Amino acid sequence: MNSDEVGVTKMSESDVVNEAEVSPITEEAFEIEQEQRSLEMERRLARRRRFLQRVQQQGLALVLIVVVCIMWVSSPYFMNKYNLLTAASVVSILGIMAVTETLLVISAEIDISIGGVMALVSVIVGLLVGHGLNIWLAAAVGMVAAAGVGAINGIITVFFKINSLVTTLGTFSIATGLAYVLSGTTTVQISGGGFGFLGSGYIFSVPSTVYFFLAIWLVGAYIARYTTLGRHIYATGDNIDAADRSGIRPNKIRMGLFIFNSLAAGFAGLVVTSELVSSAPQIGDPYLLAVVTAVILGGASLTGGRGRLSGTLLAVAILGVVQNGFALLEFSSYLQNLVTGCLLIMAVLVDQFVRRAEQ
Amino acid sequence: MAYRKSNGIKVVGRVVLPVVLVAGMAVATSGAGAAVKSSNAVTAHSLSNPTKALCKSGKTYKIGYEVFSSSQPFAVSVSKSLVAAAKKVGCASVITEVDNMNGPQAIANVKTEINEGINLFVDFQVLAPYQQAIANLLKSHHIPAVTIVGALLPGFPSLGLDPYNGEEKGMLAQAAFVKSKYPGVSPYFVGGAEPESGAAVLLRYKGAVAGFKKAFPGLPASHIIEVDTNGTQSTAYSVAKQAASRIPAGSVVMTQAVNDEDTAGVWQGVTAHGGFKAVTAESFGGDSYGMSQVCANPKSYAGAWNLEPSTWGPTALTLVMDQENGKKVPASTSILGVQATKANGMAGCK
Repeated sequence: MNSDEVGVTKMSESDVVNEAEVSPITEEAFEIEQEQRSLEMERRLARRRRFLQRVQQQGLALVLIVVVCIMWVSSPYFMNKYNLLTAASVVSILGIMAVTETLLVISAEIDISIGGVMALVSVIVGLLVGHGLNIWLAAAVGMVAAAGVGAINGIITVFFKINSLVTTLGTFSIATGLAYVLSGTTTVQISGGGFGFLGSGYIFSVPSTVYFFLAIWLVGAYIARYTTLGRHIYATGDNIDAADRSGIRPNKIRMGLFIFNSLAAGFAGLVVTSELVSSAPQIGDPYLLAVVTAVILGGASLTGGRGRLSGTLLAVAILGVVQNGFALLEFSSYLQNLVTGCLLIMAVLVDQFVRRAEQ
Repeated sequence: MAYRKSNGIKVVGRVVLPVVLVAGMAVATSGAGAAVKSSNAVTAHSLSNPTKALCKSGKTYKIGYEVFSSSQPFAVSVSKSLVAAAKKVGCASVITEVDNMNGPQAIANVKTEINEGINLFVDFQVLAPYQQAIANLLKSHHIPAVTIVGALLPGFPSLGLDPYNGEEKGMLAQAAFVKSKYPGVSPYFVGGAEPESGAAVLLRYKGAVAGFKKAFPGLPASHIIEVDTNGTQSTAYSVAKQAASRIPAGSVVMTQAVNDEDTAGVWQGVTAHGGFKAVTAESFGGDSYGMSQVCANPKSYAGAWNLEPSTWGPTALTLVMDQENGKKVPASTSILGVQATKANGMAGCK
């Protein structure tokens, strides 16, 4: 017989009664205390998360200011209204894709087929116009094809549970290959029908591409911040099983995001085709790295559940200034690749650091 | 609505990219400096019209032809012109094999052709790492050969473009166009380079700069702006559009790049920037896209420097048959090109 058993046998009847009366209250108090502690911890975590997000955002703004200042000092042509508008118009194309890619990354997926989709849409438009179809109808067919690629990405990723990186790498290759096959690797001149407005139009002296980007950004930011759909996207990325159990339909959301992302890439393809007055299978080549960099640099986490479109906007602006600076200073594309790669790695490291700090 | 389908030498540069041009041009140019002064380089015009005189009495010439693509426009043009030239001389026939950019397949194709009894060979395989094996096969069977553009075929003569002089002449043609339309101006030049494709392609840009300096001597260095097109029209567009901010408003801006598509991108980018008195261009390569640009924009395009892909097949045929006939051929033969404009009818405008 051990000492505990001895202790119990020594307790009086009244003690037993008292214990029976007190015990539930103590347990309840304990549970309440635990719950309060847990809530407090969650609140602290949320505060820390908000703080880190603010730091990230302000850090980005700081980087933007520094980059602008460097460029201002380095090139007398930089701080010129026309140059800034030019830079904005150039970077808006990647911005259009960065918006939907950000939402996709928040949902813990990624799409690297965008360059292929751009090329495919451009080539389809060229082919159809060549066969006498109205340019806007051809553009509509191109967009349907883009949506088709998005749907394939979604179906393979969501229903066959294949990693989206692998899926979209495959569809990138397919779409690019198809674009080359359909075009016979040729460049096709397209013009007329007011199509030029998409890429080269101006409204109140501001390039049309800037309006397209801002419009898509505003819609994206509104959805992410103020709508149920936005909250569901975050919940899907944060914990897909929990989201599923709580009545959110994460598969539907991810499917939709893949399709919208491809549509954005298709639209960007149309804009570039319009700018160049030509369709070509190579038009998507320069965009993939820049778009992914903008998204990650903007604070969207590759593991999902976190990211803001305001961050993406700042990141797009940073990349725009860097690109413009490189063009003005006649730096080689090697150096630009180097800088973009460094920014991407830095952004991923910062994301990792923030995740650890949150825990 | 305008629509024109192009067939482009540019596509060789893009699809086959550095391997083709860097390695291939090595023969034609033998490095940056040598290319310009190469004593071996001859223009192809004297060779581009093979006749029955190439046929030795009673002899038949079975020519193996290995080509990297059956759809790429420049390759198609070369292939068609080779077959047509063989038909024209009468005593030659061409056995064509396509490798679709698959090196091991190319080697297998050459073996197949040797088994079929070819006695001459024209090489348009563009992957440099496989050329030595092909050269060894041909040497072991004592088959005379010539290689077109792509990659060097060690020990055999080559046929390629003259990048430096071609671009320089193209620039001089554009300068004449500018001087006639805007006499007395001090223009700016935005040149599309593609340094990532190697020294041979960079020679094209250098040739254009040399032409600009020759046409407008004494202009400050700020009048020459190099943009890195990275080999795509869309990049050419965006970098040129941004770099144009360095040029004072109201200037006349000349544009040129390493091929037709890049030239179009640079010209479109600078034009889209706006604010200039005029933006002119000279296309380089002369593929149908370049020609369509010349036809569609006659006020801006001086013309296209046409490398005449349809002359490459007959020239290759002459070079390879001359070898079989015991005639000495130059180690490298360069296609200089000619100016194609709307006015001279060579652009083929409707």
